Amino acid sequence: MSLIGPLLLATFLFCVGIYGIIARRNAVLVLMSVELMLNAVNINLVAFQNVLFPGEEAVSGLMFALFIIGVAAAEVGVGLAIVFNMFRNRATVNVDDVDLMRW
Amino acid sequence: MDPNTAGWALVVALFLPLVGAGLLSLMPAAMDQQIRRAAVVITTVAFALVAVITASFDYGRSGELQFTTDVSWITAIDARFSLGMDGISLPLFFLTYLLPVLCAIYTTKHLPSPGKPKAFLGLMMVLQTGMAGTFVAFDLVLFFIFFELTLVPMFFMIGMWGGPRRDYASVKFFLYTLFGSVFMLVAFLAIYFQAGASTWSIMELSEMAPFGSSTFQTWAFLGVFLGFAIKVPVWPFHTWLPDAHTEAPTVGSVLLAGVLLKMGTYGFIRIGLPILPEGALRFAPLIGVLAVIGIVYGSLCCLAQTDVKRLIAFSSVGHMGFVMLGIAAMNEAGIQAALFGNIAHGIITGMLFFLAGSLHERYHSREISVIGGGMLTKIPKYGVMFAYVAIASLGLPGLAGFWGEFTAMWAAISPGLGLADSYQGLYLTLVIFAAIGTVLTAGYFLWLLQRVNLGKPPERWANEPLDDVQAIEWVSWTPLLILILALGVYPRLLFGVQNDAVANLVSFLG
Amino acid sequence: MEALLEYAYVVVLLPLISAAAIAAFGKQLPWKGAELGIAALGIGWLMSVGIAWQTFMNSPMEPVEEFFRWSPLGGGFVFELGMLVDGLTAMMLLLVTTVSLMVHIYSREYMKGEVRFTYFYAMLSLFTFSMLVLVIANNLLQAVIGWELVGLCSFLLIGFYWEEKSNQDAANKAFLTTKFGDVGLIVGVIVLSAGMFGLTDTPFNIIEINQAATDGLLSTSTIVLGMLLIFLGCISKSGQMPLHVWLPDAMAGPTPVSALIHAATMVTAGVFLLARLFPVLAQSALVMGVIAIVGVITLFFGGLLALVQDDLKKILAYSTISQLGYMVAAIGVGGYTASIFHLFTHGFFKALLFLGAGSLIHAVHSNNISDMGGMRKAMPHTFWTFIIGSLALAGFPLTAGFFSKDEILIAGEIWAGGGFLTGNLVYWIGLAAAGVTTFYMARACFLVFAGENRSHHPPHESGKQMVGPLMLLAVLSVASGYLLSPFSPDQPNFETWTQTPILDGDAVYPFTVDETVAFGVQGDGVIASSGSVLAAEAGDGPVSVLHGVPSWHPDLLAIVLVIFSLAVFLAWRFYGKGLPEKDPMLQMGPVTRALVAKYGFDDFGYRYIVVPVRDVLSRWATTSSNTYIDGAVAGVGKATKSAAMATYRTIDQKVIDGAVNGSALSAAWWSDRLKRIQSGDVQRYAGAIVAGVIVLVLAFAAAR
Repeated sequence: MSLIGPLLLATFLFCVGIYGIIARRNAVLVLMSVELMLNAVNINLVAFQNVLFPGEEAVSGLMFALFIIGVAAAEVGVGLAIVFNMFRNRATVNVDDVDLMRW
Repeated sequence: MDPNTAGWALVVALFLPLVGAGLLSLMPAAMDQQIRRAAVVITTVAFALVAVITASFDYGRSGELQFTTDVSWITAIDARFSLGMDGISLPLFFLTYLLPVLCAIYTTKHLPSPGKPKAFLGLMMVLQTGMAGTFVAFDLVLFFIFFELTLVPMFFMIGMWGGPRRDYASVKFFLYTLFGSVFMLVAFLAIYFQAGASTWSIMELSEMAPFGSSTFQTWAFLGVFLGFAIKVPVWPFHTWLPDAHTEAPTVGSVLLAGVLLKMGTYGFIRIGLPILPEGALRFAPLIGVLAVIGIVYGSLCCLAQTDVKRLIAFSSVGHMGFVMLGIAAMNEAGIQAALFGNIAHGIITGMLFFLAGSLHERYHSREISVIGGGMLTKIPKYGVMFAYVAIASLGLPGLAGFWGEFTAMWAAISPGLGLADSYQGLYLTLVIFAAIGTVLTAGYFLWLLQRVNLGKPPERWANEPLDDVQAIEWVSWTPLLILILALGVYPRLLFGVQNDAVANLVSFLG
Repeated sequence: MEALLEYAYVVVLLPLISAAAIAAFGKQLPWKGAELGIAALGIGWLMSVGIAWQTFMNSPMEPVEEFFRWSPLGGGFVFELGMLVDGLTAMMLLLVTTVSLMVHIYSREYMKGEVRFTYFYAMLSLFTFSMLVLVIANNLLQAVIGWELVGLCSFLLIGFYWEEKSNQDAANKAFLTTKFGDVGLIVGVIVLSAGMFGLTDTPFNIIEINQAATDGLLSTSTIVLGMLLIFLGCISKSGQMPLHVWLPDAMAGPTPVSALIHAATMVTAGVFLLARLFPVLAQSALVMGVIAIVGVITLFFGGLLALVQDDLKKILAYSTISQLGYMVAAIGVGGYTASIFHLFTHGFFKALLFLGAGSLIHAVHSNNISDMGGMRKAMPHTFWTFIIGSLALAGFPLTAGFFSKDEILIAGEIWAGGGFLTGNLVYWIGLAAAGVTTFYMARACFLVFAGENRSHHPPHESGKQMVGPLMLLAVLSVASGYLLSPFSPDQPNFETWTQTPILDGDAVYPFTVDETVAFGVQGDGVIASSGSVLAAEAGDGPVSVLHGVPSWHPDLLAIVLVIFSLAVFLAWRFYGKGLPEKDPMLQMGPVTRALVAKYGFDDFGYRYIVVPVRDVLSRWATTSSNTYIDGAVAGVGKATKSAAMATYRTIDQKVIDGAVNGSALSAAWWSDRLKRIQSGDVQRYAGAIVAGVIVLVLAFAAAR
C-alpha cells in the first residue's frame, strides 16, 4: 500500500485548516479549522503505523491518534465554552473584535 | 613556654584583641558597665599572655627571631603568614599590649560623648591587633595589611568621639597616611620584583640586600620613606598630627602617640634600612636634616601654642625628630637611640595625653589662659604628676626621655657607613642644633608649667571643687609613671634587650 | 679604713634614701622629715671625713675606681655607673657633705613654719644626692646626669616660693640659661667620647680620657672643640660672663638654698669638671687661654656689679660670680691646685656668709642692707662669724681665702713667667679685683653692723641651730687654708691630696716644652699654631703643672695688705656711720648706670634672645606650619578635589553617564516601535507562525 494517498489527503486537510484559522472571522469556524488540522495529523499517524510497521505489536502511532482525538474533544469543549462566554459578554463571535491582549 | 616552638602563643596574643572585639559586639548595648569591664578583662588577658611571652623570651639570643610562625598563606603571590619577634620587636609589642589595658581601665570611668563603649572599645581592640601585628609581621604583605588595618579604627575613633573639628581631622589623618602608604606599597612591589619575585620575607630580603641598581635603591627608598615619614611624622609631613591629636579622644591620642607613630620609625628600622641600605645611605643626611629641623621647629611651635593638648602634639614632632636623628646616624648606637626614644616617647607622651585629657575633664578647657595657673595649689597631686611627666619629656637624666635624646646625639657625632667621612661637618652641626632643641624643649615645658602649675589659682577656679587624681586614674597611670623612672634609671631594660638585635640588623647594612 | 674608700658610694646613696623617705613619710615625723635628712647627711659627713682623712694621709695615691657596666649603648660601647675616689673626689665629698649638713641643720630653724617644709628637706637631700653623683662620677656621662639633676633641684628650689611670678621667672631663667650651657657640655662630652672610639669600649671614662689626652691619642680638634664646648657648660653653670645672669636672680630661693647650691656646691661644678678634665685641657694653650680670659673678665666685672647692690644676697651672689672667676682663671693659667683649693675654701666661707646673711634676713625680714644697720650688738655671734667670712673672702692674711687667693695670684705669676700674657692678667687684675672685693664686703659690713638699726623689727640673735653652723663654718673658713700654706711645708698637703696620678710631680705643660708651638698642642691639628695672641714672649722653659708648697711672698703680702687697708679705709670713710645720704657708689654717672643695668646683659638676653625666640620665632614657626606646610597639604587636597570635580562634571556626567542614559533612551524609542507587533489579533499571530514555519522549512531545505 502506498503512502502517497493518505499523505495528500492529510496535506489538503491541513492546508484547509490553516486557511480557516487565518482567514475566517467567525470563532466557531476557527475552532472547526483547528479540528481539521488535528485530523490531518491523525490521518498521517494512522497511515504511517499501518504502512511502515504493519502487524507489529507496538501501536504507538494509533495510540497517538487516539490521544489526539481525546485532546481535540476537550479542546472543542473548552473552546466552545469560551466562544459562548465571548458571545454573552460582547454579543459577537468575530475574532477581529477581540483584542484584549493588545499592547 | 619554649620560645623556639611556641609560635602559637604569638598568634593567639595577636588575634586575641580581635576576637575580643567580636565578643564585645555580641553583648547587648544596654550592658554599659559590663562591656567596659569585659574590655578590661580581655585586654588584661592579652597583656598577661604577652607578659608570659616576654618572660619566656630568650634574651641570650635576642638577635634571632623567636616565637616564629611561618605558613603558606596566599600562594599565588608567594605571600606567607610569617610572624616572629626579636629584641627590636619585643619592647614595642609589649607596649602595644600594656597601653590598651590602661586605656580600657581609664575608659571604665571616662568616655567622651556619644558614649557607646561597645563600639569604642571594640575599635580599640581592632586597632590593637593592627598595631601589634605590624611589630611582629615578617612578611611585607602581612606587614602592609597590619599597617593599614590601624587606619580604620583610628579614623572612627577620631571621627566619632573626637572634638569639634573631628570630621576634618579624621579625614585628614586617614587620607594623609593612606597617601604615604600607597607609595610604600609601590616600593614594596618594586622590591619584590627586583628581588626575583619569589619572596616577601623581610629577613630573606635583608639577607639578599643590596640588590638592584642605585637608581632603583633611591626610588624604592623614596617610596618607603614617604610611607613611613608621614606616619612618624617627619617634618614637613607633620601637619596631620596636631589636628588628629587635638581632636582625638584621650584614649585615641594615647594610642596614637604611644604606639601608632612608632610604626613609622619601626618601619624605617626594620624595612627601610636593611632591605634598601644604599638608598637609606643616600637619604640619611636628608633624614638627619629634616629630623633636626623637626626638633627645632616643633619646639618653636610649642612655644606659640595656647592649647595644652596641641602643645603636647607638637612636642611629639620634636621628640620624633630625635628618633629620626638616631636613624640618620646609621650606626648601632643610633638605632638603639631611635628605639629607646620610641618607647620613651610612647610612655611619656602617652602619659601626657592622659593628663591633658583629665585636664579637660576638670577645667572643661585646655586653653592655658583659661586654666590660669595654680594647679599645684588647687590639685597638688595632679600638679606634681604633670610636672614629673613634663620634666621627663624635656629629657632630664634619670627619667626615660634622656636616653633617647642623648644617645641619638652621641650616635650622630660619628655616623656609620662612611657617612662620617663625607658629612662630618653636617652631622656635627646637626648635633649642635639638636642640643639647642633640647633647650627650647626645656623652655616650652617650663613655660607651660609656669603658666599652668605655678602661681595662685585664678578666682574662677579658686572655689570650684576640682577633683585631684581619682582612684581609677591612679590605677591606669601608675604603670606608666613607674616605667618612666625605671627606664631612666636602668636603661639596660631596653638597650640590653635590643643590643643583639640591633647589631644583627646593622650587620645587614654592610 | 682602706675599705672605707670602696664604700664611698654609700655617701651618695644616703641622701637619695633620705630624700625618698622624707617624700614618703616625712610629714608624719615629729621634725617633719628634717631628722631624716640630718641623720643621712650626718652619717655621710662622718664617712666623708673618714674618706678625706684616708686619702689625705696616704696622698698621693692611686684612685679607687669601681663601676658597674650599667647599660650597653650600641656599637659595643658601654655606659658605666661607677665611682672614682681620689683626692679631688674626697675633697668634694667633704665640702658637699659638710656644707649640706650645716644647711640641713640651719634650715630647721630658718624654715620653721613654712608650708612646704617637708618638701624643702626632700629637695635639699635630693640636691645633695645629685651633687654627689656628679662629684663621684668615674665617667663623663654620669657627670652629665648629676649635672642636669642638680640643675633641676636648683630650679625647684629657686622656685620654692612659686606663688610669686618673679620667683617663677628666676627659676626658669636659671634652668634655661644653664640648660643653654648644657648644650655645650653635652656636645663637648660627645665630641670627647667620639675621640675615644676605637680606644676603649667605655668612651666616657674620665681616667681613660685623661690618659688618652696626655698620651697624645686625641686629635687636636677633638681636644679644642670638646673642651671649649664643655667650658661653655662651665660658663653657664659656674656663673661666668656672659651667662652669669641667672645667678643673682637665683637668690629668689630660700637663703639656705643659696648657701648650699648657689655658693658652695653646684656653681662650683663647672670648676670641678674643668679640674677633672685638667689633663685634657692642659694639652691646648688655646683652651687654657680662653678659659683664663673668661675667668679674668668675670672675676673683675662680676665683682664690680656687687658695688651697687642693696640686696645683701645679691652682693654675695656677685661676689660668688667674681670668686668663681678666680677659680676659672686659675685653671686657665695652670693653677690647677690653686683653683680647687680656692673652690674648697670658698665653699666654706661663702656658705658661712650666706648663712650669716640668712640669719640677718631672718631677724629683720628684709634682704636689703639699707634696712639693716647696728646689728653688731643685737646679733653678736652672727656679727663675728660674718666678719670672719668677709675677711676670708677679702683675702685678709692668715684666713683661708688669703692662702687660696694668693695661690691663684702666684699661679698667674708663674704662668706669666712661662711667657703667657694671661698670667699677667690674672695677677694684676686679680689683685685689683681683690681690692674691689674688700671694698664691697666692707661696705656691706659697715652698713649692716655699724650705725643705727634702720629696720622695723627689733633684731634678735638667731637660735642655736642657726648659730651653730655659723660657728663651725667660721672655724673652717680660717682653718681650711692651712692645708696648703707656708705653715705646712711637709707632705701630705692639699696639692698632693688632689693631684691626679696622670699629672704627677714632674708633669709639664706640653705646649711650653717647645717654644715654637707655644700656642699649639702635641701632634698636628687645625687650630694649632695659628698665632700667638696669648703668648707674649718666649717663656722661660717648661712650666710644671704642680707648683709645690708656696713660700712666703713678702712683696705680694705687702701689696695685698696695702690694697686691703685702702679699701677698708675708703669704705669706712663712706659708710662708717651708717647709710650716707648719697651712696657714692650710686653717684658715678655712667659707671653706676652701667653697673645698675648689669652691663645690659639681662636686658639684651631678654630682648634679643628670649622675646624673639618665645614670641616671634615661635609664632613664625606655627604660622608657617599652619599656612605654608599645612597649606601645601591642603593645596594638594584642594587640587585633588577640583580635579575630581572636573572629572565628575565632564567625563563622568557627560560622557560616561551620557552613554548610559543614551542607551536607556534608545531602548524606549525602539520599544515604542516594536510594541506594535503585539496587536492582540490571534489570527495575525497564527499567520506569523505559519510564515515562520515556512521560512524555517525553506531554510532547512536550502541548508541541505
